[in-house]
Amino acid sequence: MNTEDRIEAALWLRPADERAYMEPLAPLVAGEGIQRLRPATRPRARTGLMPLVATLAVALCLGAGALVASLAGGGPAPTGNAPTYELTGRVGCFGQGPGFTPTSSWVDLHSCTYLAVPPQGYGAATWGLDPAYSYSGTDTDIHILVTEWACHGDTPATGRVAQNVQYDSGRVIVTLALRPLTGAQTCLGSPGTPYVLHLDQAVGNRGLFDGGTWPVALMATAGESYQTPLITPTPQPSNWHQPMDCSPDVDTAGFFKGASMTATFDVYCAVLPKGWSVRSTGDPSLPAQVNITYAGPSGATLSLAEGAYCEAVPGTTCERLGTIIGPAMFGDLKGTLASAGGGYWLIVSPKNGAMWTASGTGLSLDEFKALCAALIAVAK
Amino acid sequence: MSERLLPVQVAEIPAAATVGSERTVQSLYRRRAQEMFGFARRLGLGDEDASDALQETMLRLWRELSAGEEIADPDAWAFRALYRLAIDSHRVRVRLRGLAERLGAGSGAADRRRGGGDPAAALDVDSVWRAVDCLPERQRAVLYLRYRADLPYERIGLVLSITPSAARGHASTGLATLRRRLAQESDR
Repeated sequence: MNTEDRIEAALWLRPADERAYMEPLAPLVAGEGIQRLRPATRPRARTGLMPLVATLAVALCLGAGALVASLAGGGPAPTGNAPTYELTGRVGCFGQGPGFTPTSSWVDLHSCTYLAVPPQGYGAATWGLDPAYSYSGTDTDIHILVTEWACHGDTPATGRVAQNVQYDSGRVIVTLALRPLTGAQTCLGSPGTPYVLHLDQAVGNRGLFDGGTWPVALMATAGESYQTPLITPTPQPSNWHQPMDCSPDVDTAGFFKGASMTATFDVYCAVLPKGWSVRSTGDPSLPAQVNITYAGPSGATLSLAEGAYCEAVPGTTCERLGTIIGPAMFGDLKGTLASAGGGYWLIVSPKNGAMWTASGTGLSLDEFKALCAALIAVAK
Repeated sequence: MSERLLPVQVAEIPAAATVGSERTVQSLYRRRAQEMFGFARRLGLGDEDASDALQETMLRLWRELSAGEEIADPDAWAFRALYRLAIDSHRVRVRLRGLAERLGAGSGAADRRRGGGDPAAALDVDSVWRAVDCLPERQRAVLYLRYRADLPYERIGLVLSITPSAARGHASTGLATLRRRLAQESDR
């Protein structure tokens, strides 16, 4: 793809520094003296004009100098009378299926952080000691920061924590899980949620472990904090987008959400300009393949086939006719572009049992390439 | 001073006119909130200020419609109102930042957020938009409206109070600059 194509393709896409805008429309109210109210959101530090004005005011009062304004954040952390839950005993890469029961002979073939797989109705969480508080083995209330792995916008974990605590002679293992938020969430991420973990027994000289990861992570031992970096989600692969980023004028968010949650491979959707619609879709509950055909202006079509078919299935080949044009992008995947029968297709070689193909008719080569380059992977 | 920071005094509005107006505003908001928010961001506002400007724009549109004002193209009207709000606000910010820097009060931290990680996949998109941010204000606005907001040049002209051919010219110049800059970057 040449520079011009890359620029044009990129300009259709939402830049990473433009967050998904989810705020509701502020109430439209009439009447004397009524002021517009901002939609209710949790307190946050202003990033715009106000701190600048505040800084200026202080600077003018005190004269030049280094001034640092800090804002105290939040109220007291909620205490941990959280519901308890049963561990599943399984571990797995985040967002990738039901996981497995680890054994001593098991060899790490993946490069992900393994997490305890929470039971149905819960999402994965890890935690670390809150550095704002000192830790003592005699405490039964321990200040921690809870990290949620699922997409959760900037919503804290407050009120959604469930805990499992295992005590033995040498270890106290605390495994947390979170009730997930309902509805679509952005993947902005947020700092850990302050939380006070209530234990029935003081840890003493035993080791205190986070059971949210596998193997479990040591957080404190011999009555002192063990300084480990707080594990934060590297979770959603960075190319993931929310389903509502798929062509906002084409109602596909539900289809792609269902398909991506079911599939073991990355599912890509099209981000189409106005004037396109969905002509047909495959069954999103079938995990092996995702198929969708869009209809565009003047009879144009764009079809996507993703998953286990053709060469992605061992022992299978598919004959493809046409003339190879060269490399092109299927979203962030490199593929091979060809022309055939007045249309074009783009195929991405199989990877981990899946492959991706786009085909288009009634489109110019540049239009087809731009649409393919604009495909995005949908978050699971 | 930035208009969006002031409380809005909402005038008495004829009840009969409000229903249709509300529908128009809600429909526009559903279709365009993301693009309008992004437009304000590209014009230099931070997340929160962009959100304020967007909500303020929606309220102004509703007030105009409810007062019986004929607005043939609410999309263009809203982008235009937002553009003015954003530019006013951005200019105030720039002036204050310059003053703050002269006083040695700090660098005026840029309000740029990343969605997390360092997506190699998003590199092209981000590098292109970073280059867009370096373009003059008009070119930046035209490119956002043409591509992300998918407005034709005729409506971009309405938004920015320029002729369609001037809008086309800004886009063309902006794209040429982007091509040159990104080609230079990739040569390095």
